[in-house]
Parts: sequence; C-alpha cells; structure tokens
Amino acid sequence: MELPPNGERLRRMIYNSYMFYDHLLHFYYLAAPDFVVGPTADPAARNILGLIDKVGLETGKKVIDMRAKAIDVMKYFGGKRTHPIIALPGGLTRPLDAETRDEMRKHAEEAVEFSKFTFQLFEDVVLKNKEYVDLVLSEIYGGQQTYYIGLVDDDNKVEFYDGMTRIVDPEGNEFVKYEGSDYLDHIAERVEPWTYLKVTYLKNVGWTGWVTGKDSGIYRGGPLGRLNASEGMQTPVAQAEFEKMYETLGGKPVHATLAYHWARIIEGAQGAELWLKYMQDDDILDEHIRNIPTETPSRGVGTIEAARGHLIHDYDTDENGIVTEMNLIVATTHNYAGINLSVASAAKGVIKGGEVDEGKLNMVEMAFRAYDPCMACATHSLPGKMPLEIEIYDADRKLRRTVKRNC
Amino acid sequence: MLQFQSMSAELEARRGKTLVLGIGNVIRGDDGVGIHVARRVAELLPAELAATVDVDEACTGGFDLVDYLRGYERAVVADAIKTEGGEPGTVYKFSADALKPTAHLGHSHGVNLASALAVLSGLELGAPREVTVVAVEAEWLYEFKEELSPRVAAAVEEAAAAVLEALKNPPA
Repeated sequence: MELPPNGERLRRMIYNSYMFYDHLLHFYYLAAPDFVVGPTADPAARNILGLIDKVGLETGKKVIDMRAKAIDVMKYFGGKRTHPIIALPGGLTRPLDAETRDEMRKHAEEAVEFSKFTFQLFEDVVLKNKEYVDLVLSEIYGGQQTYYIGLVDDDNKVEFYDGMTRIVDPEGNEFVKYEGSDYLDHIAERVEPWTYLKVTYLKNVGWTGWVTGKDSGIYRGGPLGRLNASEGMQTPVAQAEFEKMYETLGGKPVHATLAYHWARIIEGAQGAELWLKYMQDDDILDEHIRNIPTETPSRGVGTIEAARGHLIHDYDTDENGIVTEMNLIVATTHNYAGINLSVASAAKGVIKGGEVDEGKLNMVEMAFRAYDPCMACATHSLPGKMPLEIEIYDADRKLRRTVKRNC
Repeated sequence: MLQFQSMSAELEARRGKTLVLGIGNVIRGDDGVGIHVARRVAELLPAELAATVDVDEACTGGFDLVDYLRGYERAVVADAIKTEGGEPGTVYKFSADALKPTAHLGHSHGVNLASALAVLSGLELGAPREVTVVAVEAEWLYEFKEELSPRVAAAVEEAAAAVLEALKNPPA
C-alpha cells in the first residue's frame, strides 16, 4: 500500500535524525579514542574519558546533547526514547505540530554544524597525522578487496530509507542493481559449524571460501560499503567530504577497513542535512500522515540501511495477518565474512613471533570495531550457554593450545 | 494528544529526585525480573515518596542507560544477576561502585551500567550521587517465557522491599 506523502516525509525525517546520532555516537565513543588517545595507549585511558582529556569536556557534552536532541524526535512520535513505536502500517503515529517543528528544526541546524565540526576534528586528529593515515592505508587493515552493497536513490546516491539495492565489484563497477524484494535471487546464506552466525555471500558469484577478490562472493555493507556502492551523497556537506575521502585514500572504491570511520561521519552528515531539509519543508506539518490498510497482506519484504549496514526483513503471513515464516538478514550478518577477514588480517599483521600485548590486541580489535557490529542482533541462537572452543595454532599450523568453555 | 517532554524538560523535572529503574526483558524469563520488581515497587510506593521518586522500566542496556540515569539525584536499579554457583531467587543489594565498566567496547550496545555511570560523571552530566543495585539471582535467562521461574517469582516481593528500604533509608 502507498503511504500519504507526509507519512513518508516524516518517516524519512525521523530516520535520518537516527542515522546522524547513531553514527555520531560510534565515532566519538568507540572509534575516536583509538586515534585521539592512540591505538596502543593504556586501555584505561583509551575510552571516552581519555578522549575528553584530549579534546575537551565541551565536545563530549555536545555529543550527548546532540544525541538527546535527535532521540527527542523519536520520543515525540514514539512516546519513549528506547524501542519507540513510530511506523504503523500505512504511515506513522502522529503529525508534527508547528511549535515542536520550529524547536526541532533548530536542533537539526545544530546537527549539521556539529557534523562540520566533526569533519574538522577528524582532519586535525587523523588526517594531519601521517602515522594514522598510513595505518588506515596499511596492508594490515586494507587487504579485503570485496564486493560492496548499499541502497541508492534514482541517481545512485547513498540512500538510507528506501531505494534499489546496488552492488559493485571490487573494482567499483556496478555488478547488479535490484529491488529489495528480489534479494533471494542475489544473496545466499551459509552455515559454518564454528559460529552461531550465518555467513552471506553473492549467489551469482558463489562461495569460494575465506578469500577476497572478484571471484569471491564475499561482500561488505555498512558506511564504507554504502559509499563504495554509490556514486555520491545526496547533500552538499556530505558530498564534499565524500570527494575528499576518495581523493585522500587513492580513489574509489576504498577497501581500507579503518576508512569505515570516515565513511560513518560522512553518512552522519547526510543524516543531519536530510533531517534539516525535511524540517524546512512546510509540508511536513500536513496532518494526513496515514492511510488505513484495507487488505491483509500475504508477504512483505523490507530493505533498509540500518546504521551498521544493509537490513532485510522478509515475512509471510496467513489470512489473519499472523506471521507464518520470516527471515531476517541483519547488518552484522552481511558484514560477518568481511569482519572475519579483517580481524584475521589485522591479527596476522600486528602479532609477530607470538608476542601479544594489550596494544596489539587493541589494534586487532580496531578491525572489528570499525564495523560497529552487533553480534547479539546477528546471532539467532539461544542455547542457554555458549559452548566455546578456541584453538591456537603457530605459524607451522601446529596446534599449540585449546581453550574450552561450556563444552 | 500524547504529551511530549523533551530531554531538557525531563532533566529539569528530575532535579533532586530518585529513580527506581527496572532493567530487563520480560519475554526472556528471569531476565525480566527487574521490570517485575519495578512494577511491584510502583504499586507499593508510599504516598509521601510519590513526589520525589520516579519508577521507570528499561528494556534495554547499552548507551541508553545514560539517558535514563542522567540528572537524577539518586537511583535504585533492579535487575537480574547470574553469579557463580548462586542460588536462584537470592536477592542482593550493593552499591553500583562494585560494578566494573565494560572491558572491551566493540559497539555502543556494549555499554554496561558502570560504563554509563562513568560517562555521566566523567562528562559532569549529572550522574546520580549514589546508585544502589538490587539484583535477583536468575535461573531462566535464555528461554522465551513471559513468566518468571518459581524461585525468582517468589523473590520479587523481597526485592521490592529491598528497593523500598533503599528509598526510605538511603546510604549517607
């Protein structure tokens, strides 16, 4: 069914404010300490509080403040800050009144300005530090030449809310573009015996094992994946930084895993700019926000870009609208193969001669953290306990140690 | 029409007050015991405390806890706990100072209660001056059930009483 224009407009406005704050939070609280405090710094200092020591209390407060203002948007429509119910079949919960719009528009303006500030901080802390740029581009973090996936609009610009799914090959050429409802023709899932997550790959390339390149169906989504899969950003501030990123990192596509952080703040800026754009449109006050459904659907596939990556929900329902079958492929699942390859590459690159210390472990963790993964979302198993077995091999592939828990 | 209160208005309203926060997921068996305890506290809350105590539920963890706790003078958190060899239904009461922040933060969902409090105090954003945890040893943590296990269900009353005791007699 079709949404009324302002039902869709409001949903897009809300979703973009979410994309802004979620990316902002990850950058300042999880990624930035690695760069601002230092990748091998004492773990006790390598966190938000250590970051505040370097960039100042006001910046830390501003992040929390901006996050709260963006979440206020969700609270207005969903009644609460966490797990708000906003979208309803055919539209959403409530219209926006002029007074609240005026207040929230100021917050969106602040969000755009804070995005510019964040770019400047990234320039000062990371880009002006040759050691960090070299780290971003190093083989340790940069060897995963994969396919990339993301939603795009009619002009192949990065889209979060709705659009065609576009996949590009490791050289950046369009491999396929399809409607989300056709995902089963393009995405396959496989089960590995050693993990609770499924591993996805491109059906029409095939699974060739834990390798990258054009003959491997492994692909990546999330911020860097989306930028690579697109031809640009929809908004000017984000587009300028998009161009700067590819120019700085050697052209498109960029495979460097740590560039996920740069891509993340670029997307955050687009979120802020689109949030503002919708708030500046007086049609957003239109009170026709929902068309009441008149039919019972039998199947529905939703494809959206969550902050962490491509998200697919697929439902079959009976004549009463009760779900009979469902399939969810969440962001971290799409990235799972890439995460494994990135972590393995980082581990091989920084751990030499069996020497491991906190700093090296963090440098391995940085490869994981770049994806902002949510393993809980991606793990569809609840066995009651987690049998875990870790086998540690030396360079000659000789088993040196086995660690077991609950098995 | 649904009343909307922005975060800045909420913070103003929280000034000098105490939060009772139940944390958990009520469709995951005993994981939801903190919510059940908070609901019982709301039922038993004496009239003289009603103006200074807010009772809320957080079916979440992670960074969202920052927003829940920010600006309150004090907080009492009710949650499920799993300790080595603990007897299901046992009620514990301790200061949140005993909790350790998340060791390795990989994602924003990994922020635990201690990390959230550290952020609030580190940023001078209004961390509660004192946070008490009332925890119930859980048995069914990994099953999709809307009810509590018998021993944990039987402990809700004791845990609610422990929360009320903490409200009436806060640590110095």
